[in-house]
Amino acid sequence: MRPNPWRRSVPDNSVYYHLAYVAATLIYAGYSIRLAMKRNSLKSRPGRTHTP
Amino acid sequence: MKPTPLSLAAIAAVLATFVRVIFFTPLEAVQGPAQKILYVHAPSAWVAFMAFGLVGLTSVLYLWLKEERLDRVAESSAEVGIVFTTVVLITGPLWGKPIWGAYWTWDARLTLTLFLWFVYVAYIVLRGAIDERDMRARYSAVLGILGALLIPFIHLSVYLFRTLHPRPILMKPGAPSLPGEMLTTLLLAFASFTLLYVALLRARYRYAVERDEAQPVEAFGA
Repeated sequence: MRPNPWRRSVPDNSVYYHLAYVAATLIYAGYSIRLAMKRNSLKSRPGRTHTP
Repeated sequence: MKPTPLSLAAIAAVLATFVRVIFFTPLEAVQGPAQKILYVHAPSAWVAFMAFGLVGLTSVLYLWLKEERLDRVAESSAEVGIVFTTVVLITGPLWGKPIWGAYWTWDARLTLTLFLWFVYVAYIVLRGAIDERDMRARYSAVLGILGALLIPFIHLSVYLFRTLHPRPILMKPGAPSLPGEMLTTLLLAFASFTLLYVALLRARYRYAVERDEAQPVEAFGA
């Protein structure tokens, strides 16, 4: 069958799509880890006045 | 620190969304793979608006009731909202480059979103600059309310101004302009990112409580 000359091919721009998902994952995971580390350092701080 | 069931559920939901986006959502015929950025960009924007909306609401309530917990919710929501807005400001240009031919354009939607990010970064900086708790809560509440006033302008900017940014496909009058499979993925993404926001907000709020309990409290409400 002859290819249809009017049919558009899907553009290959997957690098932007991959970059966007990697960036979003790094930002969300990075913030979650940073928050957990901040809470851990607060709990291990000497002289903490609160006793749960 | 042990992960809570809520945070595990949020991680699982976001991972499930990513799997659906990558393997089970069709490519858009004109834009190609770049269109799949929609499923992380739009839900992050929705959550950012929700987060800053909550800052505005709790700030108003704080100025009225002077309840310390409201100030902590506002502070926590602002910080988490900045994280989501950062994702919006990074994924947007990565979508714009292959489709518009430019990473950035100074049109109303993009510029106002950048201003929103600056306002809440200023909010966090302001909080860090004031030691006295009551004064810090009052000043930042005012800034939090002013920042939240930008949200309706950002949402309506695509109608009010000539802009490259597309109009809403979901949050608009009438039916959504997406085929069923794509719409299901987008709705799943909205739900999972909202769950992620709730989990991060809860963790950040717990941090604020523990930090305040570890500090002397004579300044608050003095």
